[in-house]
Amino acid sequence: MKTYKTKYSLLIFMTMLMSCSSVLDKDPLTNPSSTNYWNTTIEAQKALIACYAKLKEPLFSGGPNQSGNSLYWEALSDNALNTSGWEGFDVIMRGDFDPSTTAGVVTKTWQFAFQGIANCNYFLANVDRRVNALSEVESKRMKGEASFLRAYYYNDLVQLFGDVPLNLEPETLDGDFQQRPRTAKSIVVEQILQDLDVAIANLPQVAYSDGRAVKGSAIGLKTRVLLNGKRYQEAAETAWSLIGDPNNPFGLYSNYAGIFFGEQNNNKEIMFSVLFTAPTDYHSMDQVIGGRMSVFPTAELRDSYEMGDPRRKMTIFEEGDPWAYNPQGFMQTGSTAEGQIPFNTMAFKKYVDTTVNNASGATLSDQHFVKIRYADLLLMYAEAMFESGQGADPRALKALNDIRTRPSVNLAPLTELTRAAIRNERRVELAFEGLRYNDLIRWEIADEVIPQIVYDKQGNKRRFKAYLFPIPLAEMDRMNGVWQQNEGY
Amino acid sequence: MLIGVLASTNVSALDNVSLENMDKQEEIVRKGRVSDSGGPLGGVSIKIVGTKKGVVTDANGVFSIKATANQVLMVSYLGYLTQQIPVNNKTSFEITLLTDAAALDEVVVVGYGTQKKVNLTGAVATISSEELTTRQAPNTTSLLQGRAPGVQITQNSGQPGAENANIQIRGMGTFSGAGNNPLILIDGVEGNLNNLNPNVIENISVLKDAASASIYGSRAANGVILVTTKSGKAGRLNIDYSYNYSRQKATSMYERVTNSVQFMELLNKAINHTGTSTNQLYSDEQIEAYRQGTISNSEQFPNYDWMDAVFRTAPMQQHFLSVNGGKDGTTYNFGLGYLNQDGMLIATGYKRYDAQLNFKTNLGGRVTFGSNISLSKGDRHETALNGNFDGNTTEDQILSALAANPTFKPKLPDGSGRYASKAYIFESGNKNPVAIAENGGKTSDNYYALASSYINVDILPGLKGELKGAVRYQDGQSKVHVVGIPAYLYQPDERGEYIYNTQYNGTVGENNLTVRGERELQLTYYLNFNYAKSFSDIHNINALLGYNQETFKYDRLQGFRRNAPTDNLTELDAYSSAGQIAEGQAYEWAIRSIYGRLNYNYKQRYLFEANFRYDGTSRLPSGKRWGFFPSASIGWRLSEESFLTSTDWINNLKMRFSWGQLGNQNIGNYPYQAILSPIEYNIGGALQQGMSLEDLNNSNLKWETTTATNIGLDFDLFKSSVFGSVDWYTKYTTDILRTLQVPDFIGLNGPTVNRGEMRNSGLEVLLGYQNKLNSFNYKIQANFETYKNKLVKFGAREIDNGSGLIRQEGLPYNSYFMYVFDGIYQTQEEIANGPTPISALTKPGDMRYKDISGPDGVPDGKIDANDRMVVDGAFPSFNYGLTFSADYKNFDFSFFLQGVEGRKIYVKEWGIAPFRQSGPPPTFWLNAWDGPGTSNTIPHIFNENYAPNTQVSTWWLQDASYLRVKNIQIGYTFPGSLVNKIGFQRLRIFLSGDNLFTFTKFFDGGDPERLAANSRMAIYPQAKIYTMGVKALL
Repeated sequence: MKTYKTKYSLLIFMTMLMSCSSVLDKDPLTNPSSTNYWNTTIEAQKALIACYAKLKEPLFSGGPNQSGNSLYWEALSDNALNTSGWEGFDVIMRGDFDPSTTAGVVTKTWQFAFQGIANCNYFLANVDRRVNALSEVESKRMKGEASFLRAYYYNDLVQLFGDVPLNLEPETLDGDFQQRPRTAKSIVVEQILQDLDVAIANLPQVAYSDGRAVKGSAIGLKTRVLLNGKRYQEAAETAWSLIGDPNNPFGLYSNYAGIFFGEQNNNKEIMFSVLFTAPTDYHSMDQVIGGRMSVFPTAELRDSYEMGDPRRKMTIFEEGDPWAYNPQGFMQTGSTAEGQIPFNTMAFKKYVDTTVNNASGATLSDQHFVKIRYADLLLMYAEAMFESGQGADPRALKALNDIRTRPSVNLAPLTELTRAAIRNERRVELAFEGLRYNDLIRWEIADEVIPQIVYDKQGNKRRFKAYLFPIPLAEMDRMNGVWQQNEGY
Repeated sequence: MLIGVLASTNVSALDNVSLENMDKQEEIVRKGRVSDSGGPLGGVSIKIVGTKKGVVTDANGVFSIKATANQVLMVSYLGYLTQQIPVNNKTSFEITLLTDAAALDEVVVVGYGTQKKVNLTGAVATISSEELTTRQAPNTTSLLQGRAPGVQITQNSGQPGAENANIQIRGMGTFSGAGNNPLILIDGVEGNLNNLNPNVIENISVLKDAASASIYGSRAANGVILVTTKSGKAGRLNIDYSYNYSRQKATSMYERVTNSVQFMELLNKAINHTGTSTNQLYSDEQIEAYRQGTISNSEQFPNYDWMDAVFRTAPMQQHFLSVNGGKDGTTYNFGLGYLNQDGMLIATGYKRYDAQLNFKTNLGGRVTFGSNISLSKGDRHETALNGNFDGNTTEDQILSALAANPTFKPKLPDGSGRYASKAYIFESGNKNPVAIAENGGKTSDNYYALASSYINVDILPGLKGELKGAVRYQDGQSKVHVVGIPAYLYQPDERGEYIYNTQYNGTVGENNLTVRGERELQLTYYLNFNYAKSFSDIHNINALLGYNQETFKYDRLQGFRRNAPTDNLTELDAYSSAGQIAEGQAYEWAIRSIYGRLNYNYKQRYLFEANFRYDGTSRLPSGKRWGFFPSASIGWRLSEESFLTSTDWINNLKMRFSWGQLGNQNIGNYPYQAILSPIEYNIGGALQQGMSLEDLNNSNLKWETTTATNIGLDFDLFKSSVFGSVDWYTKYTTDILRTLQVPDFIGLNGPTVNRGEMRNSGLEVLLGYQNKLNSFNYKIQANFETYKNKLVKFGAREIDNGSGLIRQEGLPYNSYFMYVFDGIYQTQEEIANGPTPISALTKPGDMRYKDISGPDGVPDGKIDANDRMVVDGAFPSFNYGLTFSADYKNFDFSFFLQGVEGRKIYVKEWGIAPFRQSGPPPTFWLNAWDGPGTSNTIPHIFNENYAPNTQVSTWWLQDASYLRVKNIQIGYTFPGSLVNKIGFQRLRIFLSGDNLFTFTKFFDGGDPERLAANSRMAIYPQAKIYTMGVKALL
């Protein structure tokens, strides 16, 4: 009896074991599979969000518990100094780097930009996969955004690294990437311009508001790319295509400081930015320790403001300025944030919420990081007009004077455009917006101005290593012999 | 078969009544008691040689048999040396049996069964429960260290409950995803060794070669560890109890400059040399203040050693109680354990409660039912890392302490209890580790259950069936509770006030809490049939066929909130919902298998075995998911041949040969599927979910296969006093499943591919000797292993520049690849005349590197990436272990050595570099270069990130060879006559010391026993453990 019981239970058990034949078919539980993606509008929208997402890297904007972040770029120029080792910006600032010390900004810029490009390529190659999933209007606009973003990432790459491999299609395992050469910068730039033309054609002529690129964003970026290539005439025409457009939704904003803090939402001057919304999506730029005080203005920047330029006080903390941490004002002693203040007793004020008194560490800040704005476009226009021999055109002078005479700045208009005036206006207007380093490279004066900058109390001076970053050593190792390192390393 | 016979000197006449005049032919009753070092032995066979008469001892080891004076008693018991004792005139015998390390009829646990050791044809190492429990280390994995050749254990941390001991069997077989972890089976079911109390382990078998492991097929490529837990023995009820009390102290401590004035002067010197962080220079006044103050006011001007603040001598207690026995076909063994271990690092500690319930009963007739259940609860405590749930908290604590200057103490001198952050505002540093330890923290509570039930049926004569079902369930809850802590400057301002400086963990509000609940569920079923048949003791056949299925699922739910009203609440509801985060994930895998084995031997002289396993895994695409893994082995027992049976000094001599294939599918759970991963971006004022394709996909994966060959020799000589084995092996792994290294510019992570071939070949030797001199019994056993690793096929070489590693065909995997240190630049001329240094900052006193090559393959007078060179030391030249044990009358003594030779480890940063985050330099920097001719080995002292010296170079690559006295133990067993009166069968007390001495050339203060992958110097040190204990049998 007992044996039968055992035999039967064995039998039942065996049947249970063998019955579930699909036990080996396991699909991911947390992630969707790419094979059955691209069926709905929502799926396409989510793939487009991914194209933007790399801009959220602290290196390009900001992030939780990160202070300073993208502002570190300013310290590569003569506008700022840096005492922090974050992402290796300090060694580049001092000029003490070589390809084997390229961890940090050099490697990460390379990686993040190419990851952003891969997301764009994946989107552009698949968005039309399922016909009729998207309306024509939707599809055009989304392709415009992805093209804009691909151009944005590539522009960063060619400006920093020169020749880079040009990838426009999703990579495959049997691809030639192990042998792929670096494409000449000029060819990559042509592709950038093509992408921007697609963006300009497809994006709506509306004000920038929700973080998505619009036609104006693409025009701004295209002007920047053309100017970098010294294609002044085209740059001027591109800028004018917006400035001169009667339906231009952009304009200068009446409160200069408000563009960076407090009045950023639906600000008509901002053409492209990276948005934040605390408390879920925040960075900690107002934190007094860390980047906020590690990246600080040079005396050269301070001295380039003309007398009475209110933008100086809106951009820089100087000794004695009102300072939330000390009733005596911004100074080396007597403050709850004492010791954080840099040796030259200056700090950047642009972007900062000056009411924050929190020496305790990270803050829930949510300033948007401005990437392209109308004043930049006007100044690029002025520069392009001047450099193409049209400096006498009153439209060029007006572009510059609009900036000087806007409410909250109220400087006297200039009567004549000069190269020095344009360049200085750019410097003071756009200080701490991460554009100065690119400008120094475009004007080919970085090797002259950088070595004159003193970076510490002892009077040590910076060195200028080269106009291009080195290709990261690990990438050179991976491309084992296929590529040549950049000049100067 | 020869039997080891020991002279009957361990027989002592208890009864001295003279029986001289008795008739030698008269059969009279002889009584006696048999015991071993652990107490009375029941079930021992007592036979009279040359007759069929025999009895068995009872549960108390007592026997009684009728014998004549000229007969000889043969006393035998499985696993012990058989003794032949002439009866003579004695009527009472006290017999002590010695365990037989090379017992000929010893049975070894193998896959899905057991096998007589003499008939093994594969390479199987065994570790007994005595060997395991000699050491007092609380981590079960670590107890395997040095006990078996070819089994390399590296304990990477001394953190209680997180020792992270790494097991590697026969070298590094592969470099695929999940690495080289062996399969660990507890009573036949995959389980976790560290959740098992070592006291409940009966024995451990390590299956090293393909022949023994291939029955586990696809998961056996890295070896298999079979753990058998103790079951009860029929007979009396036994109650075992043991208690240990230990003190733990770090094996080595960081020796650093802790004199404040000396520190300040050295830092100034370093900053002046390096030219960076000049704002951190101390003024002459400040140095002078400390020069005076350290003498007159040492509270305000301390010479503080932060190691004293964070390290302590910590107690550990272990209780273990076992109740075991058996009656009427039912046996049982219940074990209960408790471990309470404080960490040597403040705020760390671990408590473990465990229970083992083993029970087996005969259901009458041919059916046996049994159940083995392990339960444990482990509670670990450590500090909290803000915003980094899985971060290494103890490393953070230690490096924070290493970064703290001697110029201040953890709390302000005013007695207010406020924490100090630094002495002066400009000083660097990290966090105050005491403040972090005393506020908030991380708790990890882990519940573990491994329960299996089985039915064994004797279906027909020789045919047995076994059905086993098991559940492994693990449930963990971890909480990271972060509290913001204000900290002040240790030196007051001019008004005499202590200035607020910073707040640690002040991220976003004052406190936050992350709670993670996670679960693992693994279900295993197997069914197998075993048929054994012997034809007239000449042809012996044993066959096994089985089916196995396992499914696994992991899931996790995690929540984060911030801003509770007070700092002591550790439940999410106490926190604000603003900015809360919820996360969750899950994954699963499954495997099904058919397996079988055939054994055949001819007169136990010629041995043959074949195994196979046919595995299907959910991790590979459906067309390629099934893999077949065969093996075959042969053995020849030369000692059974007629030409050797008369050679009486050879007891056993066997040659073995095996070949087989093993698989590996341990490569992530969905490696062939292209998936999209969520990523977020702010659109219109709120984060929107995006979907990103992050990996280059390879949908065409197949099994990784390891083909292994083993040649072995087992010997047992001179009446078993000399025993041992020698094994030579090669393991050749093909189609290695690895992540393809792709250039970053493709913007995607590399896919898993079948690419690469690797060879390991090695030699293992085990050698033992045991003997006795009068009452002095001793045994010495040594093991040795050496192996060579070679990457045979790989594709394009890969360089990991940050860690100084290269993966290139023809070299050992992950060989060191770095600049070669070549002395110190003594003068400016030397720099000017030599090759262009790597850094333009290079000055006299800095490191010089060898100009190895240039872009054209010849030295080019310029130090750059072309001058990195392959350096040896990635794998040890050899590993070894030595055990000595002895007993004399009631005393026992043992020691155990373990060592690694020829391994190098690259270390950097805190605890080795001078002034990492301005932390005080190790004392050897006092001998640094200080002018031409002063040193050619230690460069001028420098501040951190100083490019001339902080390159990845051989200067930072240190010889991590070591010889460690792992354990010394002395014990005393009270005489039975004494303790019997108070109800004990046996009572032993002992003193034991673990990790007592270490001989090494590694950096001062660093522990050479560590995983090479951890290149930071700051790791939780190993413990010296001083233990006293008592073990009682009731």
